[in-house]
Amino acid sequence: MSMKVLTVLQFSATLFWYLVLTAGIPALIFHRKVSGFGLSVRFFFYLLVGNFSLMNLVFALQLLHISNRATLTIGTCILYLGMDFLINRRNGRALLLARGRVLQLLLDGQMGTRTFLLRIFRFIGKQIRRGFRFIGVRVKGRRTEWIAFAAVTVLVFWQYGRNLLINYAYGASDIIVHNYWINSMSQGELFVAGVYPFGFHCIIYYLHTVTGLDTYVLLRVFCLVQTLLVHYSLLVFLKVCCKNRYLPYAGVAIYAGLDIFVSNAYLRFFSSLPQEFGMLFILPSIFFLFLFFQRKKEELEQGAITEGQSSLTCLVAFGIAFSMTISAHFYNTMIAGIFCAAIAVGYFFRLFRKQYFGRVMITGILSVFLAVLPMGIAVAMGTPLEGSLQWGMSIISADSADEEETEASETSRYEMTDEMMDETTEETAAEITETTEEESETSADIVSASDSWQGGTKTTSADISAGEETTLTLLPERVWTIVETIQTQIIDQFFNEEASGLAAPFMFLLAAVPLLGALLLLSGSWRESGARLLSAGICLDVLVIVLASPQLGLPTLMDESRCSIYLAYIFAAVLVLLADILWDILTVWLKNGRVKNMAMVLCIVLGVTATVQSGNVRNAYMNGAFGTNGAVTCLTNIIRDNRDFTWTICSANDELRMGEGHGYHYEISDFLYRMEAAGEHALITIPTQYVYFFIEKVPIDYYLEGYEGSGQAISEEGAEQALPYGSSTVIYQLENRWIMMSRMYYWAQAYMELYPNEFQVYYETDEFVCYYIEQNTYYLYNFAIDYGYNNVYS
Amino acid sequence: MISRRNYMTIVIMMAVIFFLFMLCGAARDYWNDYDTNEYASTEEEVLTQSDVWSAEETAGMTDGGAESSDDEVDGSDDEAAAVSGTGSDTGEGTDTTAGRSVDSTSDLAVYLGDLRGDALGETVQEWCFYTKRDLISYQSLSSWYARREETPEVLLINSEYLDCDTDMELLLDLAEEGITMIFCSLPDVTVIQQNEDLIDLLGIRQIREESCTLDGVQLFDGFLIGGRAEYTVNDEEDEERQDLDLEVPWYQTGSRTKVYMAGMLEEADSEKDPYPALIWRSSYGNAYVFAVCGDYLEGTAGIGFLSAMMSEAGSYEIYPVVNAQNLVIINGPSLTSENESQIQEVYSRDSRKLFRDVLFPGLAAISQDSGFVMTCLLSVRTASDSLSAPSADDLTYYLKYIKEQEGEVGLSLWRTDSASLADAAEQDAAFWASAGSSYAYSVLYAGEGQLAEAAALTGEAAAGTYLENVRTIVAADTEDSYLLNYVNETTTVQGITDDAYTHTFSDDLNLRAMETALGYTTVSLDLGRVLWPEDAEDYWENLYEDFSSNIGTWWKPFSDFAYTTISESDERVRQFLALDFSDERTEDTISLTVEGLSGTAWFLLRTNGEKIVSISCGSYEEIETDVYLIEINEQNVEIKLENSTELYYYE
Repeated sequence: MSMKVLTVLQFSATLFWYLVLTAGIPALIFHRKVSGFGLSVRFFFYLLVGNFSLMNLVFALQLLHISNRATLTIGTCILYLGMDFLINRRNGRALLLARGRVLQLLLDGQMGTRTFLLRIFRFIGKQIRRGFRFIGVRVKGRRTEWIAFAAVTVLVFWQYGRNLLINYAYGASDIIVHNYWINSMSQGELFVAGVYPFGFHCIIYYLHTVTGLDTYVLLRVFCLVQTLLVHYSLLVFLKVCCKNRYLPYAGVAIYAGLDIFVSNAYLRFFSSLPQEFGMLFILPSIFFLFLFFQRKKEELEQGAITEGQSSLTCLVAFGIAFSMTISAHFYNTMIAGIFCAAIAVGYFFRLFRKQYFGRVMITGILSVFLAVLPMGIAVAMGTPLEGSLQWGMSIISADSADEEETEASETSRYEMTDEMMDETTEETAAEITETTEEESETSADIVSASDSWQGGTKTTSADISAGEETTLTLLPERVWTIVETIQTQIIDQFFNEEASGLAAPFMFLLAAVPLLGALLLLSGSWRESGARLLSAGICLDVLVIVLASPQLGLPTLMDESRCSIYLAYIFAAVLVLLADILWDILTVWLKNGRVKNMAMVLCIVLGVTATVQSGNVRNAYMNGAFGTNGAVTCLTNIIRDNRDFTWTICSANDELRMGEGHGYHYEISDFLYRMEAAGEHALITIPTQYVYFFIEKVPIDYYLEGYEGSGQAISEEGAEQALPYGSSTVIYQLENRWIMMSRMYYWAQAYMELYPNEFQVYYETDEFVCYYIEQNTYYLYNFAIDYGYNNVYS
Repeated sequence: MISRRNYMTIVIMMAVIFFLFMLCGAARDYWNDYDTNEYASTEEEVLTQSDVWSAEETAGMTDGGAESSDDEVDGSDDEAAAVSGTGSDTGEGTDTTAGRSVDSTSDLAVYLGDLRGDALGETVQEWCFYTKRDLISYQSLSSWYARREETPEVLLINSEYLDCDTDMELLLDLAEEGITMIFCSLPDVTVIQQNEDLIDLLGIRQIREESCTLDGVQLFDGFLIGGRAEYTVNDEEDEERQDLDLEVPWYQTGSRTKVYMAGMLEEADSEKDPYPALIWRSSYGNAYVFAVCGDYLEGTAGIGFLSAMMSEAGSYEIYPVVNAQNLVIINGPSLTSENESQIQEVYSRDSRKLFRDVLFPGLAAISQDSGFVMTCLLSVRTASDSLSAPSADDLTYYLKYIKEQEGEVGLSLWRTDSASLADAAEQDAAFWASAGSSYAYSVLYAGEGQLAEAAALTGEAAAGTYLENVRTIVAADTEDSYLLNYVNETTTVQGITDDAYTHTFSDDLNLRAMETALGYTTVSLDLGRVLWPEDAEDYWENLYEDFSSNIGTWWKPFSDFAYTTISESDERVRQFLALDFSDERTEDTISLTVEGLSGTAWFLLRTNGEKIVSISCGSYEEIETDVYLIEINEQNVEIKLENSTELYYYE
């Protein structure tokens, strides 16, 4: 079977199980409770409830150290059944008696097995028919919308799905760290590297444990699931906020297909990462808050709660979504928090009324509490914060006087790095190292910025060192300088080179949108839209400031590349909100809504045609991978072909975590070190029946740019280099990887000469080769030989 | 009351059922062609000694070997060189895959040692005879090297003839050249200790102890057919079975080696302190060097070890096998009532009833369960001075019974009083003349030391006697002959390889070795012990327990080989001895050319990680991982191989 077909099947299975477990089952429970909302809002309500339930179930069972397939399955059943009884006010006793009666009839022989099965099949058939009828009703009369929906879905698949079929390996360096953390959960160890938002990990762990899909498979394909849903959440947000039926689809198309953003704005969607998973909950938290304001107002006006769409439901959904932004990744909480703060401004006329304020605040506090609770318990139990969190917290609380703290934090992180290296793997350290680099960079920025912002004129440290004098300038000039700085940053970090001309209009929008929103607040009929536009506009403005914060001398809350992801996301939303309001205003004379919509469809079609014609459609970007396809293909085959724990893979680090739970791993670096200078006098035995050696003939670039694409293949020259030494993944980066792989290749060649029948090629491409040997486990081979390059001292 | 009509119906029904049952028995009896031996070959079809593969030029062969002549090649000093084999190289095949030997198509073996009176030499000679290899023997390495004309496929070394001081340089050169070496025995440990070159050549990492006492021996899978085996004493029964030499030097092998058999020590940690290696392979230069610590290669079993080593020396190995699994019931049945008082005392019945009611039903059950087909070597009498007369009725009964069991009947002339076979044959002649049996008794049993006597009774000498149909002799001891060979122009000998009542650890090793080398086994079950018990151990209930568990257990891994009667096996042996073959590999195809093929022949193909995709003019069966039993009917066969590690998921 082709790996491509397998990937499609794995993705389908992942999507199916994720949607069934997080949306399907909640739908069966909550469909009456939210029947008043539109289909898309309902879907997201189910998704939020499902994710929230499973996440917290995993947290609870993990903290109790009783998490496994049985407890998770039973826990899920109890949880969902409990919800069902509670929400739908079922008489549990009566239900149990009724079911028990059927069982009794069956056991007594009064009801035949065939009759029993027939009843079950009839029930299932009835539900399926209902499902089809439901879909039929929804599709009927909204064909254009469904076509648009399908088009948007295809676009997302095209942009982000193709990579799954091209690169089988992980697309980001830190996925392997998350893989390790999730694997540790399987071993009953939550927060193995310290306390960290584990929402994403909980979901992946749950899917792995309950469905049996391998973690490494989930981490390969789940990115497309979450990216699809992130785009759907934008779509639903826009559908909630826009009056026009088709503009939301255009918004998603702009976000997914328009080639105007820098690659950093979407690159991470190719990888299954917690931050991108958390993005799934940002806009739902916002649109449920919007809906709350709307419903509550209606409830207050009508004096009654509308069946199936109560404001309380919206508030609960908002709380759950906000809570999950924390559970998934703090960056998402920042964005959601900024948006909420912006809503406080946009809805100031309503929020501060007693019917709203208390409820919103309590919900917000509760949601934070619920999200932080598992982490708090872990901290209380003595688990330290994970390295990147310590850094994040130090940044938030940092000012120029906090250098000592920063140093301390840095030291502690280095200590942790060493521990982790000793204890487990280099992968963890890789992220820490990465973070360290970010921090050093950030610290440097802070220091330099605080030094250089004197009197409002931006000067660099270099300028200062060059002895240039700083000058005091007037306020308008300072404002203009800030605007220029922001615009420069927008050009550098947000729009790509071809779209840099959009920076000026964008700057205009930054000012115009909140202004228009504020103006609309004054009008009666567009007040609600104005409030939303104002909120979104303010959020966009703040995000831009966050993006430009290093240049503005403000504390860096978020890495620029990551900020650009959110900025593009919110920008697409704001753009459509603005367009919707403008369209509504401009077509106010058109009373026929159908005509209005059709006119918009026409405009969208024209817009899409023009975009395609002008070549501004983003070409699906093929992200590079942190592994070879050959390695993943081999790993998949090895897991399939062999019994668990009968094999070992000797490779450069990644397979350690990917194959965990199935087999063992041996580091190439350890392998070579032990032979260095000792040759066949060393003793290297690997006590499994099968041993596989993964060797990259064209070493990949790991973590850093510069070596990638050089085409530097393994060679005798590489093998002749001194063996790199180090305690982290540095030994697998750049030239070091080339040396390691060259050494391994020539070792393999020498070993094959000694064992031509036993040591064989398992798989080979131009870039990758996998050798394997079947061992007699009662008398192991000694892999240490003199392969001709043992005596090159570093 | 029932009506007359119903009454009649019931009666008719009963009559019909009764008739049908009776009819089955009557029909079976009527059509039982008990007086003909369906397994015996007719004269015209039989291959004879003159058809046997033989050397064009032989010397110093024992008389059990192929036709030989004393054509001694002059050697320096007192060294004698012997050449055997047909030298029938037909192709200069190129081994394109793995294998460290320089010329894997050569079928010349060189033995450093003496072929005469040397147990290892006899093993090597027999192995070369079966695997159709030419053999040259020298008693000095340098003498051979000085005269060598052809690069041999393998150099077999009896360490007694190796001068570790002077021969090492030459040995290392030969290893660099890529000649596979087999140290059939190792020099003394003290000699090895002092010779760094030899240590290096043998891949010894450390001599841990000069002598240690093993707790057991383990044979690893992939070497001899039959899988992994552990010969350790776990209970009382095992103590009786333990007959292996457990005093060995503790050699620990290093990298470049692969161990096939090792000792076991309870106290040692195998990972940190590898167990003593007993049989291993070392890669040195371009050659493989096999080392055997112990006397495992002495005796017929050695041929199995040699075949297994050659399979490990190249990318594949193909060689002919007999493909016959035989079970012979010696002295059963006996047609005369004998030892009545003792039998009556032990079994409460006479010996005729013992055979009919106890022994044969039990044997039939075992035969059916195990798959073995019985070849019953009946005895007219087992004591020369028997007072009772043999029963012709019993003969008919057993012929019918054994026919129903699809077995074969042969003859045994064994006597408790050690009477000569000629006397016994003469004594029995009267019975056979009066019995009027037309059954073709083509199998004759020869007990220990009786092979020559039996041979003298068969062949041309048997013309006109009741032994004239004898085509093969089942011998308890093949003496100077090979296990499978001819004793005269028309009669073959098939050695008994196992005793069904006992199965010691060395028996098990021998069994695996025999199956590996020849795909052949003949298990004997002597009912004479039951008829003439010496102690309680010879009582049937005890013997039955022993042999039923032995047959049902130890032969199971070899069930893919054919179960045959001795006459069927005889045909296969004749074909096996007659054929010659050559093989050539081009990329993934092995071309096998067979000469002297007159029917069906079987080969064993052993690969290293490759599987058969297709075969022309034949069929195959995988009997173990990378071991294929190939049946061929044509002279030219093509076997297509492919790597067995084809991935299920591909890019």
